[in-house]
Amino acid sequence: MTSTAAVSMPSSEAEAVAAVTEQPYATVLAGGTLLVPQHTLGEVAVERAVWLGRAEMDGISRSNGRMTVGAATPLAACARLDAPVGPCAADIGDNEVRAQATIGGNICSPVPYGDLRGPLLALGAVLRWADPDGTHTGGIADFAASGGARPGMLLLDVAFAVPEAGSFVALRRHHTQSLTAMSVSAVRGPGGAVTIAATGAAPDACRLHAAEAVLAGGGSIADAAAASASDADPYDDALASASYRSRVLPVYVGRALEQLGE
Amino acid sequence: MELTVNSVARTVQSPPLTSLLTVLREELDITSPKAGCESGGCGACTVLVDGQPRRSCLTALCAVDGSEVVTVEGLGSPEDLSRVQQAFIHHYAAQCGFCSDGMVVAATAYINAGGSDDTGAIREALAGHFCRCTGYVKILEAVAAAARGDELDTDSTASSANNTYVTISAGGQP
Repeated sequence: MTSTAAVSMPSSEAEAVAAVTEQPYATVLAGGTLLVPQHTLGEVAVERAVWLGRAEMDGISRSNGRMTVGAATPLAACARLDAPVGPCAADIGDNEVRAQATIGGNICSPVPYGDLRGPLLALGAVLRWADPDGTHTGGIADFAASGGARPGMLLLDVAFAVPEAGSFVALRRHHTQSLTAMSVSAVRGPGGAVTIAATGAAPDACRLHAAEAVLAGGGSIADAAAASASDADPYDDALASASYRSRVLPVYVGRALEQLGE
Repeated sequence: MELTVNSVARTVQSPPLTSLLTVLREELDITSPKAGCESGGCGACTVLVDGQPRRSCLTALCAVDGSEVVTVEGLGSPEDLSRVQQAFIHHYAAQCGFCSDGMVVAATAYINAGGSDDTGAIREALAGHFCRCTGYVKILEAVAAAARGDELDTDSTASSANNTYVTISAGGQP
């Protein structure tokens, strides 16, 4: 089923913000890897769409120790970044999908998509988004608290301090199109502190504060891994059972920390 | 919207959010891109957009306005097959054929980008392409042969299984 939705094609970020925030709210089309098939199959109704392909909202820049990634940057470009973002992006789909899917689309996609929310949470990334009230900045949690992906909102970019070291481990599957059941990202920041985040351990990406505290107190990787369960909220879905997630999380926390060189 | 499809300029009337797959199959009657999963998971609909392999089921028409689109029909003709098409015949790399068009297009993009006969690299390039007949070994052999520039004879195949079939057919034996 195909609607006759009109599509505007802004040629700048400012035009894109104006097009997305004006009423009636438009549907944002970035890479289209989720929206286009949903639209084809009649799973979403689209009256008006804004395509970001010409809005010059893609690109990665580094300045003063911070990396800024435009929301329309393809995952293929993100895959070239260091851990934890790079290997996470490289783990999504295949090369054709990554050439098209964007980091903004991934951040705004619901579980079981949105893999990059894990690495970005570990990095303490700052998102910049626009809505009818203006432009806002905040972390992944702030973005979610503001309503996250919603009509009238346009994610603009994401920025984070380049870490001293990063790691990423994910529960592998045989085929590239299989969704990631669980992943753990770990980051050693410029000050030496370690932050850890997981996807698939709770209904959305979560920080593993207790494990971080163990490391900050001089504890071992094994102790940190064991402590990770206290921040988890395992759930059942088609990818894995809550019981399995509970068993796997400390293993993957341990692997991520070993990869980080803790 | 204006497209160049297999070197022919086309004006298409489909709405801008229509998938490129739907435009190719239903408006332009080019049916080599297959509507497999229609959600980006199988690779049967892959075409070249400005030389790059793209899932046509994930691509909105508005995103390819003004682009050059090539399907497997645009890679060669029955009289003048492309190197990859010849290799697929020679190595008997098609069984039911449903995945072949997407495989051939993706393999062509891989080789055009300088891809080698390294099996790991070929696997990565074709990673999102499903063969429901599980004929991956022959497909990998064909792409490697095309990447190496092997001399290929499309009147016969390198497959012992297929040679057996040819022999039986020719001799009328069971």
